[in-house]
Amino acid sequence: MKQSASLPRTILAPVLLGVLAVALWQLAVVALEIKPFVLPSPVSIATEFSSSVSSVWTSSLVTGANALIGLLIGAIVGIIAAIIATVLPITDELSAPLVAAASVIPIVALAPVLYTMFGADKETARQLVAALAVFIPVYLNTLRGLRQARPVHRDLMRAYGASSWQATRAVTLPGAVPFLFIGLRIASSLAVISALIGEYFGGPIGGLGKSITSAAASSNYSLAYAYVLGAIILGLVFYVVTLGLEKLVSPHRAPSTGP
Amino acid sequence: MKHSKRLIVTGAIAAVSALALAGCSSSGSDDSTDSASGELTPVTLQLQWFAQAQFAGYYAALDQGYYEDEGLDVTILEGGADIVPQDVLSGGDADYAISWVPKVLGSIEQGAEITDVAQIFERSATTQISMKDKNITTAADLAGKKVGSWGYGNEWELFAGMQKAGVATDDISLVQQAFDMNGFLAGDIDAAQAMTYNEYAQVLESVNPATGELFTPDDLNVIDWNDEGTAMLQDAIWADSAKLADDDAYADQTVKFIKASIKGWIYAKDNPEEAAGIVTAAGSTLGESHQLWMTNEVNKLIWPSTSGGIGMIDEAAWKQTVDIAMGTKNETGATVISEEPPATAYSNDYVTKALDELKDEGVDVEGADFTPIEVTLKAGGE
Amino acid sequence: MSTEPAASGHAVAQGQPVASARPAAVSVAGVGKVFASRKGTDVTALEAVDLTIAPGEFVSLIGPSGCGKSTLLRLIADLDTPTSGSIEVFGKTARQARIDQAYGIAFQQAGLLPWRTVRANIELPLELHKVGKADRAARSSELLALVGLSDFADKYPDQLSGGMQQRVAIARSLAESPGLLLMDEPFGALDEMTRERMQTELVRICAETGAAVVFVTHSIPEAVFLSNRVVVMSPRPGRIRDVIAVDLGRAEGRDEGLREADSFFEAVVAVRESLHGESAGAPAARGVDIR
Repeated sequence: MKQSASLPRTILAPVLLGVLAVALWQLAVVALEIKPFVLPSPVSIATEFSSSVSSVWTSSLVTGANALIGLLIGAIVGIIAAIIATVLPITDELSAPLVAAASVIPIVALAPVLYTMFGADKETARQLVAALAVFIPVYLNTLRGLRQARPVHRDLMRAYGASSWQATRAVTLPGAVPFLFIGLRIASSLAVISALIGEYFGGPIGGLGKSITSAAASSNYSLAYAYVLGAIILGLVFYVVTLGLEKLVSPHRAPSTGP
Repeated sequence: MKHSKRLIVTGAIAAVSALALAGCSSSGSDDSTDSASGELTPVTLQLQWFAQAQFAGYYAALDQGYYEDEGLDVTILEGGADIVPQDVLSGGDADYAISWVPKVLGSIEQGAEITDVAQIFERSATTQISMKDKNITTAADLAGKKVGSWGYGNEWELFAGMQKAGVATDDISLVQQAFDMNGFLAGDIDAAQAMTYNEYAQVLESVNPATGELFTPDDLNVIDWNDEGTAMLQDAIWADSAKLADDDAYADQTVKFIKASIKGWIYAKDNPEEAAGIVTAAGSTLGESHQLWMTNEVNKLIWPSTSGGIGMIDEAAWKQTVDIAMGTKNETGATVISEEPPATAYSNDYVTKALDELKDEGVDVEGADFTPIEVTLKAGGE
Repeated sequence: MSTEPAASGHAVAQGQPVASARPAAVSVAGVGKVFASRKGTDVTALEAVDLTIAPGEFVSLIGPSGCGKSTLLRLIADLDTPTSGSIEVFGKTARQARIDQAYGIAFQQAGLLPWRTVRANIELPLELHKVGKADRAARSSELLALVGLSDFADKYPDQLSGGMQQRVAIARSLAESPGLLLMDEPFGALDEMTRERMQTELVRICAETGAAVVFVTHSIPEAVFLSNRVVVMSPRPGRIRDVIAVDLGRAEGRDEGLREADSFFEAVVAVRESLHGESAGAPAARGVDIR
């Protein structure tokens, strides 16, 4: 197993690059006298962020909770659906066009319909939007994982006279786990994005989405970016937790880029 | 290469318009014919929303040739949810913008240099409506209810009204309202935000499931922020402050623009059906009866004028708007602005000149005898 | 356990095993395998194959690509079924033998499950056959010691070199102490030195356990070093061309020194000539050409 590259390369270099980029940005804003409502400086964003930390925190909790619920629902349904599609190939054939269509339309377009169905004052519609956006990558990737089986493993199971259930438990399911995590990693960011954008179409006030647009509507872009920063952090947290989960479940391998 | 070409063309237009305006001003104050050089000055107006009768005066001025009479070739740009008109103006992509005062005050504090040169809407059209059986007649009644607001800077009158009545944002369930009344009609929102000229009519154009007929005003309670004392100034014409100060041609153009726009609004007052038709022809997708309702309701916000003539910025009303902008907190504890706006935030100089010219021409700029018409709404606004 | 008691220097013609009371480990009779292809050009992978392997006997299958040696192995393992003929393993049908787990198998790819530790990989067949935890642990410790990987019990496959992975695979194939081992070029991916070492190990293990082995290989020295008999096969259609007895002494005696013995080279020559199409006449003369 490849050891991770040395500390300087994996951590210091990207951090330095980030700091450099931010410094250039600050320089540009000051030197070119860019007005705050055109492009705020990193310093003003940081100031707004620190003065609104509690508000960013509570907003992140709202959006994050919706994203988490959506992630859980979408992932569980996606995994179950993939298992069903593997066991009953007919269901896969029937649903394939639907899933293909769903994967290209922006799920968020369904938000207004969902608010009408589930109540414009509830969080439900946003959670469903996130769940739908999560379902697709989890389903497709898990399905792929369940389908791929190395011939040598298949031969081995047959040679051992293993029942199909035994073969599934011993080989198919664990072999599908890396693929599942590929899907989950994509889904974790999608969950946050979808939950946030879903806020624009209804539901209780309190999430990051509303905060961003309210600030932007008064041209207070520093504040808007402060909330955007909160959203970025939220997305990162989800991503890192998913990575950590994968490390926990599969300590034997580097985080999946492939089988 | 394209850049230098643009510069030359822009320079040529500037030179020509300078000549034209020089020709205009030298020939007297009530010039209503083309300038000596025969060129029209291109002018761009950025609206706050999609084409609708909320902007009837500008469309009417365009249609009736009032802008042309002033030597202006006006292009009207529609707005949308993601367009911030004052930013379009500040960015130089429009010459004038229509926007609400509290939204722009925020932009000005962020460094935008723009000036309110004509306060077209004297009164606010924002209301909070609810079904009769909820018994929500004042701001205090909102406590414990599901209250809808669009956000995007439209929420300050609501928050000011609640703050004044001692209702905290924690005392209500604040709901993000979509730009339709479906949530309200479905009962998910108890008290919904509604403009008198638009969303209120949308409800009256819907069928009341209880009666099988369209909703009537008797089915609804309306909280009017004008009555509650927390109304803020809305649609105004905004111009670039720096150009007003430095560019005489722009300053003169502003007076002309205001004058022609006012004539358009007067036309809308006297000919609401035609004005509604003009807006529909300009591309509005709203139904006929809805458009007429909107024209009529907007007229009520303007006429009769109590500030000395349409477009005059009333000191007391401005102060109220600024006080609310500084003192009202939203659900995150933020206010619109944290300090007094600069003196350049509004100016009556240009509208006064325009009104004087119109009065000299014998035009009634106060509309004291204005009476609204009766509009019958049809299902779906058709 | 020793093979048939042939005197040194004498190869038994055609390598027929001495009849014994126990059933043959493997009995292949008139087996043919045809792979039908969509385009209609069928491939005859095997044709009229007859082979009998005695218990405890080490037999290699060698031949060029396409000669059907891997196919034959798979048929014995019941990973595939013959188009004609029959196969018996320890007197049962191949299918029954598979169900009864009469053999252990190792492929060219180690085929270790990457999410299991080395120990868990070895225990895999035991787990599938419901062996208790304590028993499994005891057996896997034994096997780890046997292949010399006791220190790596808790490592994961991708922390091991190719040779070590193969050793794990071999340990796994021995997990249930089968009477028959089926191996398809298990050392194919290893370098020469590791290979030789593994061959020595394998011989030692087989001597200790007394298992019969069917060993597919490309390498003549390997076949000679390991086997009691070498089955030379030829392609198109796949069939047995020759069976060469390799009498280099009892399994326990096959150590490193054997690789430099004259008898070793002579056997290698015999196999090579057979592979290159020389007639199979008078193998005895060849085998004993020393003086």
